[in-house]
Amino acid sequence: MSDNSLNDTVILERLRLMDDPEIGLNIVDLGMVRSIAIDETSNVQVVITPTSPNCPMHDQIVEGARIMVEGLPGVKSADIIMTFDPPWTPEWITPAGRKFLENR
Amino acid sequence: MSKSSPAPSQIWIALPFFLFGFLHLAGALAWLAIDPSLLTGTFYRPAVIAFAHVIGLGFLMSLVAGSSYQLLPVAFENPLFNRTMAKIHLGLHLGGVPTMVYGFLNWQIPIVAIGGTAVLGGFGLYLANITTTALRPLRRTPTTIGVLVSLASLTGALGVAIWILASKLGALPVHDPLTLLGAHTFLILIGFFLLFLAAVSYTLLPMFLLVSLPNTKRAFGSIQYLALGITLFVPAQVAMPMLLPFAALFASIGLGLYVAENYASIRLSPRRLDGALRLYAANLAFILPLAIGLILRALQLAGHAPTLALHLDTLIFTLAVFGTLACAILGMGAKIIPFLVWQHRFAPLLGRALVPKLADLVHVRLLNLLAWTVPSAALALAFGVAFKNDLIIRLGALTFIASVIAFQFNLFRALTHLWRPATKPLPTVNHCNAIQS
Repeated sequence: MSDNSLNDTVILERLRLMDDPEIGLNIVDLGMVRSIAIDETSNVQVVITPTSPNCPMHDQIVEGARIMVEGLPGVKSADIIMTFDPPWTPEWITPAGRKFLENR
Repeated sequence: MSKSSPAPSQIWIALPFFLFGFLHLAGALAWLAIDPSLLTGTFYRPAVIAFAHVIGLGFLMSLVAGSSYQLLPVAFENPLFNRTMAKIHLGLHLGGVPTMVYGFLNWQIPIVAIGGTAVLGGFGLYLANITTTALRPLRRTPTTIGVLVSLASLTGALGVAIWILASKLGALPVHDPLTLLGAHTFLILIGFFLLFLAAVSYTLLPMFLLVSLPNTKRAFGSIQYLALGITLFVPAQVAMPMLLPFAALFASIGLGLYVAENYASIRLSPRRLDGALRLYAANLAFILPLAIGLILRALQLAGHAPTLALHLDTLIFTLAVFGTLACAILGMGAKIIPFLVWQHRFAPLLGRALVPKLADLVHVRLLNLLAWTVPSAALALAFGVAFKNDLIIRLGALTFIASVIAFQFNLFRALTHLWRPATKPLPTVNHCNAIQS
């Protein structure tokens, strides 16, 4: 059975705790989290696109996001998929993220 | 598609190179404050040649080598070919450079040859390591091609250095040392350091600015023009001075395209430039006077322009080293070194704890200040050299030293996190709170 209170918002809020260390903005507002899928047995799949294919932190982001999501109550397992297709674009930055980048 | 990271932390190779490099920069500036004639007097004398090698090998090459082992695998999207070769290079460089500088200072050519052999051995390992990394497999990006061309230029510069050294030791027929020295300096300064900077900027700057490379054709164009200028320069310098203005013109067009490409990245970026990026961007302001200086000097050497009161050789050196390269290196260094610490200490804790951002590891206000003081100091040095004014050179050197000390203080602050990492526990999860927020 899936945990009824587990949904995309909960997972996004959890991932908001993970910042891109250089930019100082979390990966959700940076538009790196492309999709979240939760199946009926509470297995979570998150698709992430780094801001650059040259990002030196691919492995750490995948591992960190996996640990974060699996730490949520009710999550049975987390699968983090990294994709570069389509490539990340600044248009994916949320309005809050854009404001942060402009005013920093 | 998913792919694994090509860049594990090379902190214990990169960091000693960086520390060695910044130490040499501070030492060179202190020496310059004491003796401004290093930039205003005649340059074919032991102290000036020793000073040039403190700058070229001690500062610039150390920073380029340290950055290469960390950044180029990222830029090439290939893992570093061999870490052991990099460690041996580090040892040879750390031993060879001070030996060479001592030999030059006391004009003991056999000692220069001993130090030079160690440095040359290190360069050989560096060239083999980086070239092999780039070729496994080769990705035809402006960065990869530009770095490979810059390595070819470095090889040429080393060939000329060996020629000079062998002439001094009587192993080769003596050629005009000033001509060879000019070729050596051009190949190192423009062909290697500036071309390397342009090439690497085409990956690093868009990555930091959250943009794609604005115009790949223009980026490749800058590499091609610089390569053309370098290729033409050595035969022109040694045997055909009438070609020198063309070599300088091509190199200047290449540098101009580099500025245009970097400027376009900055314009497109959704983020406001922080202190480190502003310091990096200041390097672009020195390119125009540098290009004008190159063309004027080439016209002089070709006999098409009168000898000016300005000391163009040392002015070009000052603009390139203390203007463009120092601003770019310190700006990028202010990004890379805290990142190395972060990657080594905090990346493994991602997901397990709240980890600091890079901005939390340094004094941000100090960095903002350095974005003004470093270019101002470089400008003062350039004016001091152009007008042969010892007082302005001293002021510039002292401002620069204060900036470098502040930079090192910031660097030390970041390094303290290696043994005193500051983390906070992740907040406990409450689904209802999360949904409400």
